[in-house]
Amino acid sequence: MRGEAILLVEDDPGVVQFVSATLSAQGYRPLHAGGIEEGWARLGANPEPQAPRLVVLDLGLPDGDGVALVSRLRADPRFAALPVLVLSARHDEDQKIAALDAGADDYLTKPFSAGELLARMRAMLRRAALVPAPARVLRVGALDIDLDRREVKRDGQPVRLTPIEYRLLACLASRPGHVVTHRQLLSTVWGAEQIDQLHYLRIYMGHLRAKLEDNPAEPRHLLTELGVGYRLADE
Amino acid sequence: MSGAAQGARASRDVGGGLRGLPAAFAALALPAAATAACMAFDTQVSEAAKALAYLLAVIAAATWLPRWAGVLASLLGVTALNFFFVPPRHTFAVDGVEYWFTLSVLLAVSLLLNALVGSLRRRRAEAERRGRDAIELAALASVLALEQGPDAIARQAVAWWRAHRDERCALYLQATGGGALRRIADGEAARDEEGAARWAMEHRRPLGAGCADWPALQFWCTPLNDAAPIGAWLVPWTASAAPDAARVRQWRALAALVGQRLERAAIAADADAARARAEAEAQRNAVLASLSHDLRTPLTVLLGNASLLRERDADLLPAQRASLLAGLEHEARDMVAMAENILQSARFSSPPWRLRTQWESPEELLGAAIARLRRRWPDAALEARAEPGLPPVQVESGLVLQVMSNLVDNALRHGGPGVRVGIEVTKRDDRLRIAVRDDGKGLPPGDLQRLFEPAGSAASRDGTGLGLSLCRRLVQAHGGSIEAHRAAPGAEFVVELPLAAAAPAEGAPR
Repeated sequence: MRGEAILLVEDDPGVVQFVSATLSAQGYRPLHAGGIEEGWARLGANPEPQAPRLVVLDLGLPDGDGVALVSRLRADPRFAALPVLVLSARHDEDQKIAALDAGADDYLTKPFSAGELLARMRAMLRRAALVPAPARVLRVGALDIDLDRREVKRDGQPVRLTPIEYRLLACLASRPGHVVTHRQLLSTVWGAEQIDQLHYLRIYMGHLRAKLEDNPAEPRHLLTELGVGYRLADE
Repeated sequence: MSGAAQGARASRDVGGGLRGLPAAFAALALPAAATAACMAFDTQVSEAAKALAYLLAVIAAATWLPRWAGVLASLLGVTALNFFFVPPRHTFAVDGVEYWFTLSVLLAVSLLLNALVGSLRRRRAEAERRGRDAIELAALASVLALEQGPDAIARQAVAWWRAHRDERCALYLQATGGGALRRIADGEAARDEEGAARWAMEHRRPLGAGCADWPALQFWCTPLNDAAPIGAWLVPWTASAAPDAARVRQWRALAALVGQRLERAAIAADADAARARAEAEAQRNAVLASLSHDLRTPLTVLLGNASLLRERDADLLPAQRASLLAGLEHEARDMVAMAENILQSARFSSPPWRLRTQWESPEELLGAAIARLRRRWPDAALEARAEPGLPPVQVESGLVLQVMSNLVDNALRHGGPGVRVGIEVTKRDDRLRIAVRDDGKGLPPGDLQRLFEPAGSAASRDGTGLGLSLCRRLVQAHGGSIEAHRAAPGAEFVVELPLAAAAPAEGAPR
């Protein structure tokens, strides 16, 4: 699917030039906005079918924090499912996590390569095309995860998981390919009052990897997003 | 016996071996002995010779007895001579001018003698007291000379005062740049102490007991110096009489001595700080010089490859173009890593810094480091292993990641072509052990600790840049240790981090 509109909300001319060139070369139609308000206006101004399919959003913008735009998008039914890829610099780690908690789908840390940007975007667009019926049966590498029957198989063999391990895996599998933050995982699996108990998450993720990965130090399915959260590989 | 008691006795009793009742007895006994001698030789000697015997008794009394006893002995001697030997005998009447004259001269000579001996004794006592004071000052000076910091000097002075004078005292120190006074003393502060110390420093003169200012205070207080105020010395004084001048003089001398020592210490501290600043500045310049040197290599490749691609595109074979582009990307990734090192070096180069620790899985940290290293070194022979079941550690993930990737980077850069690098994370007792081992060229000869010296110092290895010194700093910030070992072949770097739940040395969990 080419010719899809991508909205880039970014104020740095160098990054705008690089990302726009990358997108054009791949046949996407880049739209550009220099700030939150302009970005919001651009989204509303493009009726279907020219509406942007994905937003690439910088966090430090002249008229505010990109997190605010994520929250505004998620609060509006028209854009609630619109994929958002956040671009963050080294010094706004906290905003990056805040943006993901607010509903952004993925992030890239500057500096990044064209290949990394396109790979992320392709995965996000592909997943967005599957909405609104997320798969209840997933195949991830050697893993089969059946969310309806609560069954997990590795190389065709059933794997016994404890209830917490299963809930952890199911939380990641409900959004395959997406980054799920520590807070999101802790509040879904253990409850909102446990969101600071990061060591629970570390220990259970270790158990889960020991059961599902060939080499837990270099996992292929349960991927670590250091300092942010986890992601279930989706291919 | 304490110095204070000695001083007190000396001022009460100026000289003389006997005191009190024995002295009174002696004052009686000496004229009595003269009387007995005169009676024994009554018929053989004249009245004038008898007067000389009494004079001898009076001289003896003036020499050995206190002044009052000397005067008493003079009066008794003259009276006894008159009563027993001056005609008419056994009356107090005096017959004739010659006897009047003899008695008057005897009385005058004995009183004069008493005055003379008393004055000599006072001078001797004063000289002795000054000598003691000088010895005291010298002793305090030698004790204070051993201390360095202002608080240590003040504590030593207070302790010395208590030990040598059997008195309490307090020192108030003013920090440079003002602010609250620090009280160095044993025991609780009396009321108004700090206010008095401030007053003394501000007006640069003593106050309290015996002074024109605030004489009713239950202590005596003096500034330590006359220049920019550094503190005040305070001695409790609860006696009803004001302290005497000599005592106050010695107090001031002692206070001035402490003040001088404190001033010298402050000057020495200033000099030390200036030297440290100069060293830090030189260090920073050396780091900057080394950094700009390190940046030149990737920049040369970036500039060269980019200009070649732009100007000679038509002449290039596809394989050449791909290689130039790969070079561009590799050098750019190198510079990203370098920027990260510079950033963290700047963060940890001057306090206060603070770790942002979280519970992390050692296995995940290793996985993230390996993923990053494989992107930077796609063709390198890298092997990673984590012991199963490692517990979570409380660390700042980005920093541990940086330590791991700097150590592997270092091994790949300096190990020579075809080097193989293994990184292993294990648990040893209550520590997490990260070992990076290579089979390369090995480490340079010399002290291995010097590998971790900051970039730019004479000891640092050319080309290591910030990497290893930053590793040491980051590991130490986590309360851990780092060591280099020679292996056969190659080298091994071992990092150990505390596993205990206790928070790392500096910094608290987020």
